[in-house]
Parts: sequence; structure tokens; C-alpha cells
Amino acid sequence: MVDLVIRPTVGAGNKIIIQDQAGQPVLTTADSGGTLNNITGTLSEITPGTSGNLLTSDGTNWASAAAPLSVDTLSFRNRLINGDMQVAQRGPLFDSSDGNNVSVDYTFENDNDMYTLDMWYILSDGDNVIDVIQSSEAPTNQKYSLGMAVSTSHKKFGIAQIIENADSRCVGLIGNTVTFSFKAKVSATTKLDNVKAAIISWSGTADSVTSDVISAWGAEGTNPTLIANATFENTPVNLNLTTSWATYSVSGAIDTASTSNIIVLIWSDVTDTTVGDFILVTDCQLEAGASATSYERKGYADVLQSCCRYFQAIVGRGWITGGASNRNKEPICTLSFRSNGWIADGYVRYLQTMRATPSIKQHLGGNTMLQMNHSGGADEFEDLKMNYTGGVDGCWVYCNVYITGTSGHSGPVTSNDSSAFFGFTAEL
Amino acid sequence: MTISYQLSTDPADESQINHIVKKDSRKGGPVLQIPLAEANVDYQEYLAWVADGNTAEAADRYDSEGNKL
Repeated sequence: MVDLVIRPTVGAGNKIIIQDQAGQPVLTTADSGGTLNNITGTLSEITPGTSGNLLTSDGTNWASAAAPLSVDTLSFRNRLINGDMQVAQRGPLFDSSDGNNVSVDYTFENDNDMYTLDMWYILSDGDNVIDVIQSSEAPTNQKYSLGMAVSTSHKKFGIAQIIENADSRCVGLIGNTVTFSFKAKVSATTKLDNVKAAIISWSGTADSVTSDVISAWGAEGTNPTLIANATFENTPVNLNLTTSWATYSVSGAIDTASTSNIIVLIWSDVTDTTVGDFILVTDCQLEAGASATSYERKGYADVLQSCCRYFQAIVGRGWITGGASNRNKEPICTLSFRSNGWIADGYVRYLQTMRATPSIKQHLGGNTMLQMNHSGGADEFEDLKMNYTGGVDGCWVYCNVYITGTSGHSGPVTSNDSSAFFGFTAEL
Repeated sequence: MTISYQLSTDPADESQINHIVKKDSRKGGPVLQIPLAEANVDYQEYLAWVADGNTAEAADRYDSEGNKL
């Protein structure tokens, strides 16, 4: 048969109205109530709801529902950086050794208040309470998690991240309800049976955060006491982590007056831990709104670029003894003699404009030296000294001993230690 | 642990302080080079250390041959 078309052609009406006797719209394939498939054309109206609603489906029916997010938060939802723990410029392990870490000052790599995987730092009741590792144990089809393994028993511990104010990461969060979500599991619930998460506001000077926000860890099960200018914006409770991966979230209103930064914290609130117990955490996300959405995943290069605003490691590995055969080595930088005599200097361009003019920590490994190989010889020296012009894009450096060189000559600077690198840190 | 600081001058102009060296007794010497930049948290710590009544060591000085005096 040909198509059956019912179409008003005369008069003001332009609609086809199909209703049952009760006035309800009915469109069906059979009296028993069949399913209409293959409907084409434009659906002009399905219970429009209120402004801003979205069309949703429960698998059976279409309906309008309140949008979980405003349109402007569909991207840049996650205000945390490296939430899936994929960037580890300092290395993948932080324990009680005195190895590759680049930090301000420390006894162990895993001291309280030490940065570990990029952007994440330890908060613990003392030093060397946990080893932090970039673990390949992760939820299905994911790559990494951050592992916190107990190295000193009977202490509370956790990890935290500070959200910068100046780069707009707090915009849309301060003054509103936010949600912090993450995936996590524990090695056993025997001891690690009280893991909590907190959203903390900082009401001191913006981007001048006292990173160790814990004043006193308190008794088991009692939330820690925070320092001045730090306030819990949710009421931390036991999240009852299990030995399987699951997503957890906490929400709170960032309503503390003069909040300038936000800090997220995940911690074990028990004090009877056993060495070797561990917590794995990944897919950490802080977003606007009262409910968690799926993790906003980004590629490694994107995350690394964000991390480099706060920390950069520039490697210089392999002793260069001269000649083309050594071009497979990686110099830290190149210094040159701008006049005959005793000083050689050069400029290190950062990989990314940094949050603030960074401090420099050089790590050369054990008993190693730097070497500048130039036409006058291969001179060794202990330090590359910064010669600052106050920049966030790079800095001048010079060697700390006076090398005899010829004006105009230059040479690469390397270390003979395979783990050597220069850390430029502007972390909060 | 004893933290101390030492001023460091521009090698071409010893009247010009261009960074601060942080020293940690646990590490036996310098651990960090800190710029004179207010937004740098290490510099903020240094200023707090000075505000507590501490004084940084003077910068090393060198003769015209580059020898440390």
C-alpha cells in the first residue's frame, strides 16, 4: 500500500491529536499495547520540564531531568591534576632511602609533607610512615594508582593535593557545593578499616598555603585537628573501603569566608596499622556540584604539561667525553664562555611556564660531579648555580668553579649518574 | 636537623644577591637554591626564618682569579 498520511490542510489547526477517552496521548500498534519502532522525523516535545533540563532515558522511557552539570562545566570538570597518578617526574617510589627525590629538605623521601607523584604530597603523623609508589595495580583498563604502604605502624597517614588559585582552578568551586571522588581499595580491612576523605578550604593568603594542614592527628577514629586558616568543608566519615576497587565521593559547600585555595585529603584514620598494609587510590576528581561524574581522563602529555607548572625535572645523563660519538647523551644544558676567563654560563628554558619562579634542587646521585666538556678540556664541578633574573620561563645558570675557557667556546653539561636530574620546583 | 641559609651573589657582580642557598645539616650542605621571588614558597619560608630573628650567612667572595676568599 502507499503511505497513509493524515495532514490538516484547511483551517488554523496544524496538529494531529491522538488521545484516549481520558485525554491522555496514546499511540500504539495494537490494543494490547505494542511498541512503536522506527519513528522518524522531529520530536517536538517530550515533557519539557524546566529551563536547563536535559533529556534522559532510564532505558525504557524518555524524560526530562535536571542537568547534573551546567554546560560550562562539561569540560574542565576535574580541578585536580594527575588524578590518575600517571605522571611521576621524581620517580615511581618514595621510601626511607635517600635516593632520587628532589625536594626542599628531608630525612627520607617519604617524610611528612613531601611531594611524591606529581602534585600529590604525603601528610602523615611523623616521617617514614608510608612508602608511596606509583602502582600498576589499577581498575580494569586503567594504568596506575598511588599506593600508600605502611612502613611505620600505628600512625595515621594520607595524601593530599592543593588546588591553585591563580590559575583559575578554584573558579566555580569557592562559594559552591563541590564533590571529591576517587577510586580506591585496601589490602585488607583487618586494620585499614577507617579511611576518610576531606575537602579542606584554605582562608589564608592565596597560593601561600601551609601545606601541612594537620595540627594534630588525634585519636583513632577522631578527625584530625587542622591548622589555622584550614577548615573541613565536609564532615569526614569512614568510607568503609573494601579490598575491591570502588568509587567513593564526599561533598561539601565551600562556604568558609575568604577561602582562597582548596585542599583534598584522603587518609587512614586508624592507629593500629601493620607494616605492609596498603591503600591504593586513583581517579581523584574535584568538581562543582553535589554529585560525582565520571573521571575526566586526559592523555599523559596533557597531564605532564599541567604538572610542569609546578615541578619539572630536567635530566642530564651520561658523561660526555667529547666527539660526535657522545651525541646520544643528554646534557642538562650548554654553558658558554662569554669572555676569556673564569666563568661559563648558560640559559635553561623551562618546559612550561611555571607557577612561580622555581627553586632548584640538583640531584647528582652519590659522589658524582657535573662536567662541562669544552675546547679547553673536560672540567668537573659540583654545582650549577642559579643566576636569577626572576623569570618563570627559564633561568641563567653558571658553574660554581672557575673554569678556564676561551670566549665564544661552549660545551654541554652532564652528570655521570644515570639518575641525575635537576628539579625546578614551584609547588604550593 | 638544622636549617640555615647563605646568600649567593652574581659572579659578575658581587654586590648583587641573586639567590639564597638553603642548607640542611642532615644533608651536610646545600639542598636548595632559592630565588628572590615572593611567590616562591621556599622564599616565603626564608623570610619567615629571618622574621624569627635569624640571619643568613654572607655570600662567599672570590678574588679576581676566581679563588674563594
